[in-house]
Amino acid sequence: MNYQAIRAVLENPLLTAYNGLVPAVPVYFDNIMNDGSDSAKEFVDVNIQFGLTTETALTSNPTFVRGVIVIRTYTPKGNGPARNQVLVDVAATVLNNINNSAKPASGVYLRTGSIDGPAFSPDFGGAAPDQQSRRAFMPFFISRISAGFQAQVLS
Amino acid sequence: MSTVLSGTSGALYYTPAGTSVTTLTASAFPSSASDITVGSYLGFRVDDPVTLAYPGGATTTNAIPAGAYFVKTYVASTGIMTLSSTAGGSAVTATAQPSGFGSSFASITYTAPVVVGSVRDWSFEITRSEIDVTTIGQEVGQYTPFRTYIAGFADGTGSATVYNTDDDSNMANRLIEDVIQRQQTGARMKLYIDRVVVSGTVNDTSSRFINVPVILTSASLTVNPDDGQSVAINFRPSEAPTFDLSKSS
Repeated sequence: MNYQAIRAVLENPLLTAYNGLVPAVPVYFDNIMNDGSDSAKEFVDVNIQFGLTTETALTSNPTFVRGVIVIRTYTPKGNGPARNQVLVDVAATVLNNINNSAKPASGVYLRTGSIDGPAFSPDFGGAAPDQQSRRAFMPFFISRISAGFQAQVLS
Repeated sequence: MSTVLSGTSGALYYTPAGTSVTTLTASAFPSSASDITVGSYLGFRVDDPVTLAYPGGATTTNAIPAGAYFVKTYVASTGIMTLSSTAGGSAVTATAQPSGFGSSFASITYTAPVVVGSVRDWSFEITRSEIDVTTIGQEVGQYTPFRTYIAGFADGTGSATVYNTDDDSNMANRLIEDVIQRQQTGARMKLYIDRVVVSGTVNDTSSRFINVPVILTSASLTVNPDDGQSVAINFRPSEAPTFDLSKSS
């Protein structure tokens, strides 16, 4: 098992893609200090959760790593969805590229499931008035996409 | 610790129906120009990758050389084919017929199975019939006697579900059309359980797959407003499948 290698398959291309934008957009991964978001106009947050890691069998439990990646994109509130959708499209493209990669002979083979989203918040047209939500005080317009994944660490 | 393979390791490759001619005599080849008489109403299409092979001992001086080609033209009604060295290139020509086939034949066959894109799933089942050879008159004891069986003929069925895409080159379209292709010789499924790619090329040594000549038995198209368009294709072996379930050989 190598959770770090699996995480790298998802995080490295995301970091490369957002760093390649002009201007580069900060990306914060799990447990990395978000020391710039107070002043940053836009940034991306990536959260990876591992779910079931093994399958239960009679004699020994073979590995079968599954998890979910959640990518949240933060852009200035009140400016419309366009910039946010441009940024979230970068993440969706990265996930699609990962999904289109063929299985190598060694390393990590990871494929995502269907991409869910983007879902946007605050929802200005939703049933619960945004003014009643604590998110009303958040200065960002946030989109969220997520995808389950399956990973195999190849020997 | 072993790892469970998920379905995402799999793939479906297909060799189109009617793309194998293995009984070509020397007279099928041109003594001039480029027309090869391969037979009528086969399944060849323009730009299909094919391999021309002559029998051992054949003389091919000034004939179309053996090797890998692309179908330049194929007229189903006449059975005349021309070949090109590159897809869309000019037709290869000869100035003499090959000779010395003896009792053997030349062949033109689809070069290699091609990946079918947008495959949702495939399944393959192999079965054996059972022959009851229970005899009466057994000596009875504490427990009731069991019936006795021997294994009979093998059979199999397979299926694949393929999404319809807006891609003209998708081999899935050909799979559908091949169901009603009268001559299905050459149709073959390569069912990858674990497709491994090395340096951009599928490595069959490291991969695991089932290779099976098939006949296509049905194609069921589903079009509704709620789901992605898909086609369910059924097939069954026309010969015994071969298994390569090892990743080291």
